Amino acid sequence: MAKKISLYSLLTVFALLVSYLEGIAFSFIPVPAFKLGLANCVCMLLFSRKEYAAAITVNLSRILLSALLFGNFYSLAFSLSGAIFSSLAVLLLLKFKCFSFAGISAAGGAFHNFGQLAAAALLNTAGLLYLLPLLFLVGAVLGFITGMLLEAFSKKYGNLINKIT
Amino acid sequence: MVKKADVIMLICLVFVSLLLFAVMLLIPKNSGDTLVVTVDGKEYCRLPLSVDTEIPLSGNTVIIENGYAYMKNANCPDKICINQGKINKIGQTVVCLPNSVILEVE
Ligand SMILES: [Zn+2]
Repeated sequence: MAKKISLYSLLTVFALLVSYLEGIAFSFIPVPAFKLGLANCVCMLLFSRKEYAAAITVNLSRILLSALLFGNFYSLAFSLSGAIFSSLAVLLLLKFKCFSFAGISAAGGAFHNFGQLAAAALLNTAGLLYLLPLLFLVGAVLGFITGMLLEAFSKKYGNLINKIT
Repeated sequence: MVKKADVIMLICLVFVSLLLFAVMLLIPKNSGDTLVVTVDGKEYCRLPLSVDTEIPLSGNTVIIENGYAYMKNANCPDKICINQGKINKIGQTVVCLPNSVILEVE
């Protein structure tokens, strides 16, 4: 149990750091939500290993911490909604055995951005909806790239991951 | 590595976004005459785009100039709002997520 808690905390801090750095790295691009979503690799990897409790704990902790540290109620609502939509897409596609992480993550990225805009629309900022086509496209393409990276990573370090989880 | 199903998935998603682009293009966009400023989810003010003015907010400065509105200054970490440029068409927005400021043309 203690081992699990420390592993979850470690993964959470890692995901938090990655998403923060990524936010800085891509901030010169004038499109909100332009991110590779590398932090979500942690979540996706755990989902694919059927570690559902771990995936949800780590992702939720990251989102809450990120909102507390750098955000506000709105960024929290946007990320939560994005995470719910992308997790559903990822979980659904994991049921089909024909996809690698690339295809799964492409859908995850697209629906993450869809979820963010859905929250925006609900929170009385429906004007943001005109961004939907662009963000859907960006989410799919960047998600695909992220998924390819994750696929390569998990091929290479699969044994290591088996050891620590 | 990348499987056939992955490529098909990506193509489908790109196709969906192209469809969404097409739908957005079909909705006519006209120049608006009012700028609505929303702070923390509540409407803060609405101003005519025809009158040049400066709107000071706690963390941002909004400018209306020659019928366009834009974010001139912001203390947010990402400055995405400043990079979003000038808006004047109905439905266009500039968003500063960190400070929860939204500019929308109506
Ligand atoms: Zn800003």
